Amino acid sequence: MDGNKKAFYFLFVPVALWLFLLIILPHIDLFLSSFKPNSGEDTYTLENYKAFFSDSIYWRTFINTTLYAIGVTLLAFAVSFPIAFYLTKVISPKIAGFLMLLLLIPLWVGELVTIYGWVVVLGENGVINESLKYLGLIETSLPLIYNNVSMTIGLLYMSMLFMIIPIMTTLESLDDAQIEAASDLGASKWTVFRRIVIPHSMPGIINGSIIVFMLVIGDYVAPNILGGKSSLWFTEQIYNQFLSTFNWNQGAAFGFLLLIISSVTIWIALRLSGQKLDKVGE
Amino acid sequence: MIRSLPNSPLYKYGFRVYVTLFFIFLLIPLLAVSVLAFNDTTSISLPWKGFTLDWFFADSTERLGLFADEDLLNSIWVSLQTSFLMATLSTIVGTIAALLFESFNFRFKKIFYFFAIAPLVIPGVILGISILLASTYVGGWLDTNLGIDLEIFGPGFWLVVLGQFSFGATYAMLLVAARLKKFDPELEDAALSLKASRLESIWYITIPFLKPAIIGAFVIAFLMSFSNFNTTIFLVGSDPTLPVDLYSRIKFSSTPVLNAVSFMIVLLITIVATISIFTKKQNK
Amino acid sequence: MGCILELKDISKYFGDYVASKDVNISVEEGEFISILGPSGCGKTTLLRMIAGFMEESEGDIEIMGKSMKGISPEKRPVNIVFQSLALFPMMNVYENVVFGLKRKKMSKEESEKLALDMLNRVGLEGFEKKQINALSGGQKQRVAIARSLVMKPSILLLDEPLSALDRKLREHMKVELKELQKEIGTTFIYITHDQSEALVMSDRVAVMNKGLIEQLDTPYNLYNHPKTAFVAGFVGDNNRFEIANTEGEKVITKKGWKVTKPALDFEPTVMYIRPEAFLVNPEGEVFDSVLFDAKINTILFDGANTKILVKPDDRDEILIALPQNARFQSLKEGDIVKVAVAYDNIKCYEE
Repeated sequence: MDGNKKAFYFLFVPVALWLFLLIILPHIDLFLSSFKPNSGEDTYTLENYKAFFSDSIYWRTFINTTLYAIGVTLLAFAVSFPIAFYLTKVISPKIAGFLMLLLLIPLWVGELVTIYGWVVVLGENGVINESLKYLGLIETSLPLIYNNVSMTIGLLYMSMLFMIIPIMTTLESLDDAQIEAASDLGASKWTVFRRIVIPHSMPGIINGSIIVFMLVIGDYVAPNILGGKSSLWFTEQIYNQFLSTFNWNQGAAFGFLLLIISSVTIWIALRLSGQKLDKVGE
Repeated sequence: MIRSLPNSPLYKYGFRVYVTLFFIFLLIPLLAVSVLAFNDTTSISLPWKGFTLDWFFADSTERLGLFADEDLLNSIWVSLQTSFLMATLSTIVGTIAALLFESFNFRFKKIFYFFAIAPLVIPGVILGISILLASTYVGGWLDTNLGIDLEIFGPGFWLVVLGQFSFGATYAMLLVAARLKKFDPELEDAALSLKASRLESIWYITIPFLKPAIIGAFVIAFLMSFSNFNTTIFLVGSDPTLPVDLYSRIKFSSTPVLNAVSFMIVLLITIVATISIFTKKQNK
Repeated sequence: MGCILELKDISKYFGDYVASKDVNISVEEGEFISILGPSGCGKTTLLRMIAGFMEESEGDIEIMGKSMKGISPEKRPVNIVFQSLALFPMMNVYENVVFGLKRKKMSKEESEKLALDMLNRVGLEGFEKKQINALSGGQKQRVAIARSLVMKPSILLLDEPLSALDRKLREHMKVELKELQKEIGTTFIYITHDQSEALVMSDRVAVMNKGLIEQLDTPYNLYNHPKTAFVAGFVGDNNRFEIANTEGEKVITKKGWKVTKPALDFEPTVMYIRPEAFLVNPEGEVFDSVLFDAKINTILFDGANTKILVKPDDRDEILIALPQNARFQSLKEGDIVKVAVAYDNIKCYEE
């Protein structure tokens, strides 16, 4: 089977290089670095982790971020589900196609532009404030930006798009006839929703939630630009360690902790839905 | 509650109101910046002071338009190059990975596959810092022990490309694999029986079949790269990509030129999105 | 003309499942050989082993005296026409046919000449630029054959190539394939479950059942001298009788019909007699035959294939071929006829 072997190695080598050099080794390095001191000595220490647990600003931020991320995920679900339902089940496919297009645009435009857009809208001289002033409804600007609310809006904005698509995918596989049948048997809308629609779309909901949670917990731009002084986001801590104070090993420890919380949450979610990781890929 | 059933007007209109609000929410930031790109003022927002193209073309100290701002144009150029290279690399390795996992069985295959899709669930931040740490370590080791000082191991253009490629290949692989599953394996057997080697059979038969997915993967990878911040920020050197440049400008020196850039991006993406939806319809 | 393909004691197991067992086939150069059997009998497995897509569990395959063990498909002097045809959809007819030649690094002029010539031979002149999905079933069939034959293989394997075609086209293609094979002279190994295809086209047929070769013989012999009950029942129409026991030189069917069958040296369990072996109202004397009266129960008119159902003793039902000539035209249902069948035509087996 010589031709077969040759083909195999030809395919295997690039993939192995990619995985080893860019994924496996870097994460090993991350793990090891988190146990090295910031002074540059070549020993192993727990000082980075000690610093995390002892300085309340670190672990408070961490917990805050995690809880917030869960909250935004739930919010994203609540906001997105009706839209996904609407696009797949209520309106005609033609209009749905056009609306899908509208969904793709913010998705591909990217975080920076969209978050900046919110700065322009929510700012002190932003679209909302200036319009309200123009209409004579207010005299001084409302503090719409640089607080937790604006940060949430920013996080929610990016999340919705990643929540809608997986849900739409699973909803599309729901046979309309099931809803019709239930309706025919006298079920109210709420019952149909609870007993048929939601259970069927569970895989999509879980997938979407996993992706959203991971994006939100690791986001930097929205909390940093739209958040205020009091909106502490753990990713900012990592950023600071690497790019401000240059305590890379400390940052590595933080990074590793973030990785753990992200992985654990995802693992739990996958367990709950009984799925495997490879199903998550679109 | 669905299109094939009769619905109460309250339900119908209530739903429509919600959906309308949603799409307004969705489009407001994009519309705002697009319109304000033409605002004749140095403030990034309202009030509206008249129509102007200054923020695209003006070249003065008070107003530096997009096409006159050399730094901004430079970062756009850096982004284009980065994204093109990253997309090319991602598509090639992603396609190879799809073929590998679909057509061959080998020891530790499950483990390898796990790592191949791990980037889907690892926050971009982590990918960024881990690659920074690893490359700095390797670069340092090579320098101290072998006296080799290669640019690639420090923050800079190539590290950004590699860092983005680390997750780009994953997405490319999944997109190509989806199409590969629809491939009739007997076609490869036919090619073998016609004396093609395994590699020739893949090249002449399988890859042409995968072409639509490969193109799609390239586009998606390109877009992901072009807008990426979380991973890129840790790996940039002296020449920033567009998102990185935008970030520092938003934080420290914002002028309506940001609106102009945003408008251009929105316009471009709209065109790309429209084309992609049309080609998807055609392919079906 | 030497031996071109030899299967020596080929066996193939999938875990406990036996796909082939002790298959021995020797094929002469230029022969048209069919492997005939019902679905699941193992014939496709055998084909894939010859082509090199599957490795035999035991035994050896030799082509032109050389062992094929461990040799991958692209290195064997064999080409295969798949059941699904497996034409490359992204290429046109010409590109499909010339594909294999290009892999052999043949020059453009030479490969073009051979490809066009082959397309000519299969009757597809002018079809070069057509896309595959624009072709009819029969045309696709011919492209698939042309693509393989142009490679000038020592052996061409065909896996039920006619199964997707409708009946009339199939009949036509049977003749075409046979003539093509004679003209080009390549050894054909043809897999099918349709015994009419096998009988019409082949020099020899291997009848296969449950992984075993029941009989490898000429179509004539398979039909007239089936060696096992399976072959007797599978090839051609046949009357089958379960045997209860024997009584001297007589065989007694389960339904009670007594038939004389001399010189049996084993205990038969089943008996086969061909419909056309029965003579109705025989003229003149009959020797070494069973003679009996029977009432015509049903006449199954089918043109030249007309048959009648008779019941001797009102028990076993026998299908008898009725030649369509003046002698038998006046026969009606309910008539009593005399029936004779030669001892030689009564085949008994131990199943």
